[in-house]
Amino acid sequence: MKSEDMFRERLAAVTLLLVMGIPGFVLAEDGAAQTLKPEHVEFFEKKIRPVLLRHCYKCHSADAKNVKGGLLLDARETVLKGGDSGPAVVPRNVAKSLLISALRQDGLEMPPEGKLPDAVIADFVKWIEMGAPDPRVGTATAKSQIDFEQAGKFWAFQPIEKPQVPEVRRTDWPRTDIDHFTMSRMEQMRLVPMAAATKREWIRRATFDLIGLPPQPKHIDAFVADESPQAYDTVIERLLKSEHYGERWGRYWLDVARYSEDQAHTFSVRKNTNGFRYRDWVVSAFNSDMPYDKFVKLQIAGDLIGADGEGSYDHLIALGFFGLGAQYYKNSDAAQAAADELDDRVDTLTRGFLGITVSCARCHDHKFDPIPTQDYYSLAGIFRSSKLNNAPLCAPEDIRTYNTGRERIKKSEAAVKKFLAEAKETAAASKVGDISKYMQAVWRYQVAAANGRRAKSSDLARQAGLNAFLLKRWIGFLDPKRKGQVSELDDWFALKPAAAEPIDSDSALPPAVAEVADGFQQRLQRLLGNDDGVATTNLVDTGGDKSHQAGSPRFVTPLVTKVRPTSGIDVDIRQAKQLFLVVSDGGNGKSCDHADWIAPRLIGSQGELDLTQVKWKSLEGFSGGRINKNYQGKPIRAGGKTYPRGVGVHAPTTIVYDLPPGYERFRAIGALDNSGSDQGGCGDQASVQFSVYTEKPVTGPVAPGKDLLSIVLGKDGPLAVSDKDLENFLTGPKREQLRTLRSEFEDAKKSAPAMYAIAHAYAEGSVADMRVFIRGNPARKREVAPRRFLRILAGEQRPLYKQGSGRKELSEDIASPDNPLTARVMVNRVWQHHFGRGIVATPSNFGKLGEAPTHPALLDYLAARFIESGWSIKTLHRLIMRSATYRLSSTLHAANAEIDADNRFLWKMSRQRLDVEAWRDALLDVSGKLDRTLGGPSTNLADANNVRRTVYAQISRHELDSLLRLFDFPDANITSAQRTETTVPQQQLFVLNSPFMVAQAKAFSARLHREVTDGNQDRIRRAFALAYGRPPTEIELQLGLDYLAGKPDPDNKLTLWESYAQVLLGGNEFIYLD
Amino acid sequence: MDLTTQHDVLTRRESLQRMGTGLGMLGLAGLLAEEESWSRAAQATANPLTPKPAHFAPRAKHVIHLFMNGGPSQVDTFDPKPALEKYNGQRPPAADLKTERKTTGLLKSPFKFKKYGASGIEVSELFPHVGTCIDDICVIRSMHTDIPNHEPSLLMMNSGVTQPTRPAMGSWLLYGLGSENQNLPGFIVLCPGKPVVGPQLWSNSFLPGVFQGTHINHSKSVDPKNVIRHINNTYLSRTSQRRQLDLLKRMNELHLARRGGRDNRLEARIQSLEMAFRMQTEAQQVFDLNQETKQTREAYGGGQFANGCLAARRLVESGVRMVQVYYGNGQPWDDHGNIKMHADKAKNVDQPIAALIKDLKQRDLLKDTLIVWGGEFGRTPVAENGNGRDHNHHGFSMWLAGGGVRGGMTYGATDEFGFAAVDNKVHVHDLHATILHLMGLDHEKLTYRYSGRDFRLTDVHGRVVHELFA
Repeated sequence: MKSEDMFRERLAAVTLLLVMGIPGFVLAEDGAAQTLKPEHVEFFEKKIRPVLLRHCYKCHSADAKNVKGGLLLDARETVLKGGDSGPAVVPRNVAKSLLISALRQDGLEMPPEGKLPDAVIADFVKWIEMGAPDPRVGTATAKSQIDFEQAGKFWAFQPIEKPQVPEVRRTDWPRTDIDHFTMSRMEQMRLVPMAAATKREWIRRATFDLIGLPPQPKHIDAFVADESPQAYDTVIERLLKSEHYGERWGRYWLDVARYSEDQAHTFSVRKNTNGFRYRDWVVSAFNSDMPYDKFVKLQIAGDLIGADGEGSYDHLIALGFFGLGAQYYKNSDAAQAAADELDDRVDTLTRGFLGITVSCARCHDHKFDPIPTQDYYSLAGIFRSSKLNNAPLCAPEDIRTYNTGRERIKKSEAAVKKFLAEAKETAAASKVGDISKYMQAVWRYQVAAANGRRAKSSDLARQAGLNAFLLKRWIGFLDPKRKGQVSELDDWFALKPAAAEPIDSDSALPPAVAEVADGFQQRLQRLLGNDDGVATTNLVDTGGDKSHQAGSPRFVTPLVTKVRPTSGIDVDIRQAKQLFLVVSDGGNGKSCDHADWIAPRLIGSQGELDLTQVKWKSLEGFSGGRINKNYQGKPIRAGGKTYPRGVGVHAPTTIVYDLPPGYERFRAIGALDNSGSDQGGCGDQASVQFSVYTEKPVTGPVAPGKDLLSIVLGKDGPLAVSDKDLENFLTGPKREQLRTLRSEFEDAKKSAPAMYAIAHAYAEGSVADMRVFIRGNPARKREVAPRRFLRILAGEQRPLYKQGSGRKELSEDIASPDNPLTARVMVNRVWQHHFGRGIVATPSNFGKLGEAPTHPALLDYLAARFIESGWSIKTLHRLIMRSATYRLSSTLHAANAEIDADNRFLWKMSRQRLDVEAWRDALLDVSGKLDRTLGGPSTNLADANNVRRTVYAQISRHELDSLLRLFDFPDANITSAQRTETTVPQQQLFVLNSPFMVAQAKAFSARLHREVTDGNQDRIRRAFALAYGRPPTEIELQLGLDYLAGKPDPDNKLTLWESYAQVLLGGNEFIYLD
Repeated sequence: MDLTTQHDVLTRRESLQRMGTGLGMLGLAGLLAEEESWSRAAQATANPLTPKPAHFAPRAKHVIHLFMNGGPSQVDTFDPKPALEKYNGQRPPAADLKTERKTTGLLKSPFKFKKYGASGIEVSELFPHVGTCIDDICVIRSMHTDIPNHEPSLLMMNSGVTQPTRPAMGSWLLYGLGSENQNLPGFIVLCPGKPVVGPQLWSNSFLPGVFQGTHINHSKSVDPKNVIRHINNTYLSRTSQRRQLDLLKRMNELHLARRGGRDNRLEARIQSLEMAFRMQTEAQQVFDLNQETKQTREAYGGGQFANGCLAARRLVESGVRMVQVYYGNGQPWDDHGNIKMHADKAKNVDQPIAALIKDLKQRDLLKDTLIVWGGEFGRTPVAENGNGRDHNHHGFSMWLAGGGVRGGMTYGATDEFGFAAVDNKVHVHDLHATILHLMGLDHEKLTYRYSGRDFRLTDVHGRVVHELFA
């Protein structure tokens, strides 16, 4: 082996290693091998470096703002190493140097602003041919290397340590430890706390905060009257015990869990019909104060942790956190869609539980936080090793019972269908022998009608011994209006009953009528009898090609269907050179159209030629063809009968044979194979049609007129009997049989148990590590990313996950008191919902791009107390709500506002707008309409009569309810940490004009009239107590009285009281909480 | 301060005047100070639809996107390929690209092409009226996208990704520029029924909900009373409603006064109620096509699409930022079975589109209004099912008109059969970058921080195709 070849081979091996992501040894070796000649250096400096500098460095140097494609061209080492697509330059190998193909705009197109002059490209070629001499030493690397040691110093990654409660100067103000923290910050900032809120303000705040509903007047009055030291605690405890607490706080979690019950795409939108069980589980987890660490673990790995006790399935329902995750459209780029689904899982997991944005590392190392790409794929691999699972929530025997029940329904239904199909066919076919009689009876009817007399069809039927129902259908079928629709009846319509002489009921008919009727009957009989192997419709059986047009079919069968699964084919092929066997979908689409050319053979004076022994010239269409097997490779079977010889295809398909000389006829049976027609659903509708050409088909294989058998015997034909009527046509045991089958079917339906409950859960899948996708592209992979936790949280030497997918280990790593993020993130979420803003204002992003905590020590204090309390969220509420900080009024203070306009340092309570759930629920509650039922399947908000709490609304990813969307409900396609708050006129159009708002106004007015029978003053007072939890001021009272004393417009659809009630419900005081 | 921003400040002033005098404190200062910052407080207090300055001088102020959903065929409309005649029925290697379904040999266009205008650009007989406007049109013949399926491609054309997880271009425009008329939604989607995918195509996604497109189903007619939800008060006479609203305003003012008289959010809602009251009349007027002259209505012709085009003109005239007019329910241009079916669709759109261009031009609005025509992808030059054409993401045509675009030009090219874009390829990302640029926005700077990173309409892609600009 020549040394140059060895070099190349080594380089190839190196390249391979590089692509696999194992950096290192070659570069050094290769670098050492380079000896630079002065003229080479000169060439590089003159011809190469300036071009690189001018056209490439902007995107491909260590100083680039955004390094594109992972490629750096500012050092020899990185040029040889290359980027995502491989080495940019392979010395002495122009063909393998991607740089050249990029410059030539061959695949890659560089530089993007346009192709460089050919002379420049030629210089690069020359340079590579001389070995790509390059004096630039050094190991330039993109600036994305993560310094974990440095990164670990960031506050969010520091362990949680319970801080000392700070001393404050103003010692009379704090009520709890929390107040020491807030006061300490206020004192640093020279802020003064506002006065405490009034008791009315406080109880309204506390009630909306904990249960999402307004306080009832009786509770307000009791609290105002309660002067004991426990007054506040009493209210807090009452609210925490309320079952409505979970509805309020569960819904906050559902935002994080991007809870919904469907998917965003339109083609076959998948409804997760049992999705509500996850919502109910979350609500009840909050109500029962489930320890948060357990709450976390169950949602990640409930299936692996197991049930709390026998008959409990909550551990599976909890998995809805992922089980209800996004599923994307996978029709074309399935790998990309699957990768996007993994991204949904990783993103929701890390932002939801950890408050960090790992998803950023899907394409490249996180630019701001210490999350390398490999970490992303370590987590993604855990989900790739798991799968969606609709888990039954019942004992195995319940499933068996259900399945047995379903089986019985299916079987008995199939039995009825089969019976009906056969009986109908038989019923119709059995009457083919009466066709002539029916036609003659119709003649009598029509002649009578033409002569101004009305014959009764029932009489005619009786006289002729025919069925009156069918005779009616024949009368319709042969009505002169239908002339020309069925060519086989042209002779009949030529007889013109209108011109005929009047006849008596028993007089003989003109012979021509009987002749035509007999002829038509015989034709049908022949067709019926010809199912298996004899010619049916030979279009051009003319001998030679007198009337044959080239490219038109020589022969077309009727439609071949499940009911008539075969049709004989017999074609004159004299003088033809080629044979085109065409099977079409029969005009109704190609579902289940498994077709066979059974026993195809050529016949001539010298004998038969079996075409299954002859290689066709070509075969084109939906499928390949199989010799002596059906389309699926199984034995050919049609109408339940097996055939040894034939060609199995799937329509539409065309087979072409070159014809050997000397044959005169082609014969075969065209058949619909049982493998298609036995399939559920489409099998019943499957139809195919066979046609034979002797030239390349030009015209479609359309039969002359419709298939006569279908016309007469089909479901609209004059001999057809409907399912419903069939029973009347059956006699004796047959009739009994049908009744038995039907009652069996009814019984099966009645006695079958309802579908058991399921959970949209997760389960273990096939376990494997993923490889890192280069730039997130699933088609291009780099090194393996072992399943394990994040390096920044678990250290470089973190253990690999070994138990199945690793979800259980992951859940333990997350729900751990040692995890610096989990507790902090959750206490911050709770804090946010009490104060309108978190201590960290970006609750799902504790990273560099998130906001720094305003009270870092307080955050740690709360997190530590949270863990100490056994991760009790209710304890956390108590801690927060007993504080003086929580008790502050929302009053404005000019001096404070100068320093801290956003109230980041909590010198007052921030005024909050109710979210759409609390607002809608409050409207219903105040108007007296709210249905406080808990749980169950979701309800439709668009229904004006829906008076359930908003948490029970259907949440759609595909099309979010318009009210929810209008009032800033988040898009359920993505996890959401906080609601945006917009104020737009469309919202106020809802307040002014929507039927919902008007309905509440009417109900509120009616309630007030019910509860206060006399006097507008008292009614207004009651209205204020219900809506705002306070008495009206004198001015407000007067405004109300004046309004109500106005002159009503008779055209208005609202009374003055109703429109006044709408004002109270639509006011700022109703939607803003102090 | 350069001229651009001065201009924009004026617009903002005007818009504030439009919003009425209201409460003084809502004030100019607060709105002007807010600028680019999107703090929560700012979101809640300022009207997020207030006009905002562009990054640089815009060439266009409005976009009308005429969406031929289903995917019109380029070789039968704006990209003539004589080679198809010659190779009809054959499948040379260059025509052997993979699309969604099985295709056979090349299929020549059943439609004849003819040169139009001074530019002599060839347009097929499907678009004789549009042909007369060709000197105002810039045909891009080298579009391409990623996936030959409707759902992902509709999402790509609207939001720049193939999954339903990103805001639509109209939402981005509203976020970046606001809207000139506060009494109307700023991003309106007219579609009889719904296109495939549906609401995700005009979704705000992670942007605030106010930036979502407002879908108007005008399958029956453009009914002013129903176009916007709850626009019509059916309960009280206007006088009675005014009296009711006066009471509400008074109560809200008392509420505000008790809270120190200053709270931007409370004031904003008081304003917003007044705006809603005015919107009831203004929006209904804008959508009342009967206010147009007989002559204008006849110029546009009849039918859903014609109504959509006329409504679009009235909307941009009233300051709406972006209007999409979809051809129809489902995916009507999806002619797999027989490409001749394109004729029916073209007949319904040809005259209205030409009327729209001429109408805008005559009103001197075309220079400010960018018209975008096209589907989610094109169709194959090879046949499917005999006479139909399959989806084609490799190459297709779109065209732009008005809004600072050079008319009477073609840009880019497909291969000799019209299958794949080969010269001056324009990806959907590039189109988005270009449209944003025309609207005065730098697609790399129009970002929204979400989930720990800055998102863009064009993600990490997009090249502004400067060659198209006048």
